[in-house]
Amino acid sequence: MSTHTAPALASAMASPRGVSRALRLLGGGLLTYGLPIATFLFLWELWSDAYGVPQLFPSPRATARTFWQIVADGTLLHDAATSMLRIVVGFLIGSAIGALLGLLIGTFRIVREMLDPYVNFLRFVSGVAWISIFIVWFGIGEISKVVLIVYTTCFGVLLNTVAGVAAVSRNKLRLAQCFGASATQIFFWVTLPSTTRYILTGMRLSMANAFLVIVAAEMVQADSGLGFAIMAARQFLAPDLIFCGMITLGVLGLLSDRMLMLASRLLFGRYYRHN
Amino acid sequence: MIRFEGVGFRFGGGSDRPWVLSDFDLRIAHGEFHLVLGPSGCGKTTALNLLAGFEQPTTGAILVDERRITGAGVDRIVIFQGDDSLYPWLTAIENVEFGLRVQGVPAAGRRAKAREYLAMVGLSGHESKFPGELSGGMKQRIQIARALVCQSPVLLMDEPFAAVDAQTRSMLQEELSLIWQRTACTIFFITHDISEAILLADRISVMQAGPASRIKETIAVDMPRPRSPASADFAHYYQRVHAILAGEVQRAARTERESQKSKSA
Repeated sequence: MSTHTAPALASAMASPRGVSRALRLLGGGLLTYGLPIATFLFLWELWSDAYGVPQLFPSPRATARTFWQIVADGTLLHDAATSMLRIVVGFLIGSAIGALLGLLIGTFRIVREMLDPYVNFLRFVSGVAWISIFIVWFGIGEISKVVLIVYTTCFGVLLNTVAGVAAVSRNKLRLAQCFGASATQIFFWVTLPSTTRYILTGMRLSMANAFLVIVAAEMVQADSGLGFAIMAARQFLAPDLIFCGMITLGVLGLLSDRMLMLASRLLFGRYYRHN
Repeated sequence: MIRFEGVGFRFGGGSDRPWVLSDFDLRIAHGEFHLVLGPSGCGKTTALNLLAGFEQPTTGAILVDERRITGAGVDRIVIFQGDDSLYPWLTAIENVEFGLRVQGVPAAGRRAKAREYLAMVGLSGHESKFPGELSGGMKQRIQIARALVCQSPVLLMDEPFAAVDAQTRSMLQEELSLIWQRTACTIFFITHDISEAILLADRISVMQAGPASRIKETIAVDMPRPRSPASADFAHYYQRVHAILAGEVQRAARTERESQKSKSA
């Protein structure tokens, strides 16, 4: 898909008729995928031939054979499902916490003044830096990984939500005041709907970050997951398995992003509208 | 009855800030269509924001029916210049219903009422369209309908037709004049367009150039409605208002030039 298809798709989804247009764009996008993929496979084949040591730089066909093997014996599905489950659970919890804190920080001055120093400090401490301490605190099981994703997702969503609350136009709030709206009504009927698309954008950005950190966490300490599979493949000196893991990550990430975007446009399409 | 009594205003209330308004006095009768005309930057919108209750006067007071204004209220709904006060996630009819929803009117009743007022501003058939799908003039009609549906006795209009094209503007002016006659509401309308003022107003108040602006002169427009810009009366009033305003426009331009100079110096 060309780089400008994503915004085109996003704007197409803004109107009800847009959904069918968006599906067409998506179809067109799949067609435009064909050429880059073919080019990539061709260059890969050339390069691995030139390298000359198939054990270290397997060709696309060798990789494809390995891919079918691990699909058939179920290991790929198991690792992918494990990673995805960690991402989805952590992503949902983290998004909820991030949106809630963002709305509170954006709405209440006192909360902003209390939490701003922590937010501004912690946003520079990558989730990856927390991996070891999370494992020490929460053990080597699922919890430490989910907590890591929660932490990572939370910041992206929080910062976007705060920006969204700040961007609510003054006249929207003033009009609600004219009608005598209470603070609660203004929050639920003006601030929250105005901020929805910012929250969803924050979720999209955070989803990408979740894919980045989960691999690191599974490489440090895990017994399954795509990060674990890539690390294990290194020990077996099996670059074809590493390639399979990387490709799976990319495809899953891309699909998750598309699905999140489609879902937010279908469920929250009206909050993407402009006057 | 609306009264501005010796109103002075400066932003932030700090004594180092310049006065935007000072000794601003104005009286508007029940059911009057009152136009406030002034050069750009003279503080017209500030006067409207004070009457709306969005800002508080630094000195003096504003009274509506002898009650001092301390905040915004459903008896004084604002119709803003741009479209940024419309809620883009609500359809036209949902936007009109918003005020009724705030006041706890049951869903069925408010839907019927909103439909009626949308029809009044000529938007029947557009109920389920979103503001983003409507023209600038139609969006201003939604704003008018959502103020009227709450039976607001006073409408505050902040150059509501400044951003629409000339043809739509004259149509909207004509319709607003009819709606005002039908609903008997009081309208406080600010503009910098002399023709608009003469077409609509019972009385026109001309403001001085800022800073520390006040009302320079108020004149009554004694012309039958509907009014035509082609009539001799219209030309007479135009010249009269123009003469009052011209000196202020020049003063405003001079002040602006000087402030530009002092900025670049």
